[in-house]
Amino acid sequence: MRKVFAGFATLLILAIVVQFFFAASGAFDTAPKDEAFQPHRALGYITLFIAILTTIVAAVARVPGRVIGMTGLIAGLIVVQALIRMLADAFNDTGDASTTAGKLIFGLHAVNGLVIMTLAGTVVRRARMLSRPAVAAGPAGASNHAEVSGPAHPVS
Amino acid sequence: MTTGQLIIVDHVVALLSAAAWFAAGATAATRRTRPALGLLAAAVLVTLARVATVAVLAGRGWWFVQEKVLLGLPMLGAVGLAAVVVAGPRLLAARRAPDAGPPANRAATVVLPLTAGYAALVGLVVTLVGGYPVTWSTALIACSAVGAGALLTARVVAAPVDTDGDTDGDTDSAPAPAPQATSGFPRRRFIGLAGGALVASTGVTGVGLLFAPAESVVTGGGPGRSSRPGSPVSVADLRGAGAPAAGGTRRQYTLNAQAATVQLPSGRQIQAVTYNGRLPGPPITANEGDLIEGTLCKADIQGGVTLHWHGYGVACGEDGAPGVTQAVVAPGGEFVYRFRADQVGTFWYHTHQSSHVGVRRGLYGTLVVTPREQQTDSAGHLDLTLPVHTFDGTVVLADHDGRMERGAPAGTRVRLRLVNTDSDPHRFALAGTPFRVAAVDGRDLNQPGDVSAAGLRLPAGGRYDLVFVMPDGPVALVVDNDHTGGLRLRPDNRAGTPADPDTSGWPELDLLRYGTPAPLPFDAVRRADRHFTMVPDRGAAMVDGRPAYGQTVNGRGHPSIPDQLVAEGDLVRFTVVNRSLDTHPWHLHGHSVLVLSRNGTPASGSPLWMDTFDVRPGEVWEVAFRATNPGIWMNHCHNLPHAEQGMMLRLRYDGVTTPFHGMHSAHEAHGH
Repeated sequence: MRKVFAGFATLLILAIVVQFFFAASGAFDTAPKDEAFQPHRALGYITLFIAILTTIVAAVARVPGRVIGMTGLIAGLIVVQALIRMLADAFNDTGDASTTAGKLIFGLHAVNGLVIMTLAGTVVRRARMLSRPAVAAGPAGASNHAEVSGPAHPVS
Repeated sequence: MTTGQLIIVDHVVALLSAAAWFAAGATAATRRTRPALGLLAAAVLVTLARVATVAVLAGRGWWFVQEKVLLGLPMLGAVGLAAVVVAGPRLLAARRAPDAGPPANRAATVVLPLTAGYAALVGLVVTLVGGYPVTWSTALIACSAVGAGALLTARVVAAPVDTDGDTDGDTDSAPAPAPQATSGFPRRRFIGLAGGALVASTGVTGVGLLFAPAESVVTGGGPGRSSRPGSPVSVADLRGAGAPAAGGTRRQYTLNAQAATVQLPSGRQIQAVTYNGRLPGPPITANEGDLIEGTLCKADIQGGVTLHWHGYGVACGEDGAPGVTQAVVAPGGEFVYRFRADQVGTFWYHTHQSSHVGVRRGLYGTLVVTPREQQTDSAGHLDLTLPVHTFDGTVVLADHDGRMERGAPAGTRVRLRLVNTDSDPHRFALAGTPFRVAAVDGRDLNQPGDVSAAGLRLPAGGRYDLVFVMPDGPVALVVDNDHTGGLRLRPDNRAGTPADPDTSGWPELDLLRYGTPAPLPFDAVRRADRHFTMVPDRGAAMVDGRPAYGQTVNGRGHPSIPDQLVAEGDLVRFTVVNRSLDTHPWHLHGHSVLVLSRNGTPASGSPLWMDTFDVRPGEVWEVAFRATNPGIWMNHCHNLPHAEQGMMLRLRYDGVTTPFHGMHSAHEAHGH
């Protein structure tokens, strides 16, 4: 199960990296924002879904609470990403035009993105550590007999 | 505070309450009793603040709070109360007697606050994703999600695996076997299993209800479909007049839809899709009573094309709504539109097939009908039709992407016909002269007064006719406060016009209070035969057969939004409530609507007839019209990407049918 968790965590960070790519390619697209950022938005929803799944997998795999908390926090911060965009849009009354307030609020979208990236990096590192046999055989091995760990298929 | 701002404040407070509950639970999990207590108190305070914001929002209309009052707040209130009642005393006791160690029952101090956090977050998600009206399906899925979160958390908290080497001997948190293992573990396991089954069945029921079929029509309080004798009328047979009125002429236009590279005056090239290779398409003009015959041919556009006469009360068969009033004109195909120009004013035409791309890329043009006796071309008159459109971020006025200059001798009677062909509103300002807004959406206003130093917000798809007598000095039409573009009129050829005044701070002209009241043709507030409420919002819905986070009306997306049924002669009233944070320019085909009120304040100026009215975030508009143009009419948001994302429904006259098969029949092989 911990291997599955490590797999999900890796998938999550990959999705986040691609999100940065889509954000940049959308910013340099001449199409209207709605269209230019379509891939970024679509993957955003998928990333949120992956983050929630990763959290659930973390909880089922009984990794330390701190790691579960961090994974859950990533999901929460992704929701915040959508809210920041929504707020900034609300300040930018006429579509593509921007107001100062809208720009300032939207800047947080990038900062929050970096926080998410950092957290995801930490989670991946912890997940890799936890999935190593040396650790699994330690005190954590107690959970391996639980039926929920079932037929774990390592993803990575 | 506007309702839109209140909605934002409510979102922020909701997010804060979720964060506070999560923080309280997480802090309790780390056994820091004092901060946990503080955060618990903060969570309670923020939750109470949330109750306050919802109460204020409720004052703006039930539509804005329904899901919060019926689902979100009760859920959060119940779990939050349990968290306070159960976890509060335990944390307090632990704080008073720190030597006794952290509170023993971690399920109480950790799981309940975290569950309150889930409830707060799920409530916010329901608001953002589920919207209005809240459904049983949404409620069940929401409860199931919170329950699942609680169970999973309890499972983790009850038997944590701590690789940090936790050796504080907290027996309750040891994996197993616990001292009471013989009796406690099966009980806990039983509760877990039973809870899991309950959560799963609730969730499955909720998801199952998602697939419950929706009603196909709503009647707005009027009678349902009649079983009237005689055969139903097909929209294909509802065609325009074949001949001009007496004294009128036949005006024939051939429009070839084709891709083209168009060079703007600045030298910039636009990869466009066009009518006849030009931007905008050829201006269509007529005198009152003429017959307009528009032949759409070639149609060299992938996915097809149509002509929709925006705002014009054409017969339904000429309306150009693909899949509803006609089949889309595929490459090589042809369609002839014929209608009599009985309505004087400023209108426009555009494709209605994949219009979010087609119109944006150039498939639009203007339609202007003038009174027969009026000679607009004669000396002493200047009549300019100025569609404003954005290509790749560049605002183009008519066919100019820079400043447009015109000479007009002092004393010239000027009429500027502003047409917004974009999907977002534009702000206009006219500097240098007082003016009157003579007409809105092609309908004359009653005794409009002189206006100066006021901004004009033109909704997407809307039109304003501005009239004034040319003064001695220059006049500037400023678009979106950008002084490098727009239009300059000069009474002489003197070079070096003085700088325009800064128009950005000018207050916006409120058309609901502009002009002089006049008797109305009907009393729609008391006498409406049918009343439909539309609540545009963002939300999760099926849009064109695919699940999407789309633009919805009453929680559904096109084509699953029920048709609105009316009978010919009905007085119909619409209430449009914008719950979202986007502006929705609402557009009903084939009819102009009379604006009754906005946010409960009745219109107090000239009778205001519009075919596209901007419902801004949090606004509530009441409009009405007499159903006198039989057909099946699209009724949608004219922010065209929004329409594409689901914000589109149909108004259907009783007894009218369509042989066509939906908006996307051209490129999706439905086997109807």
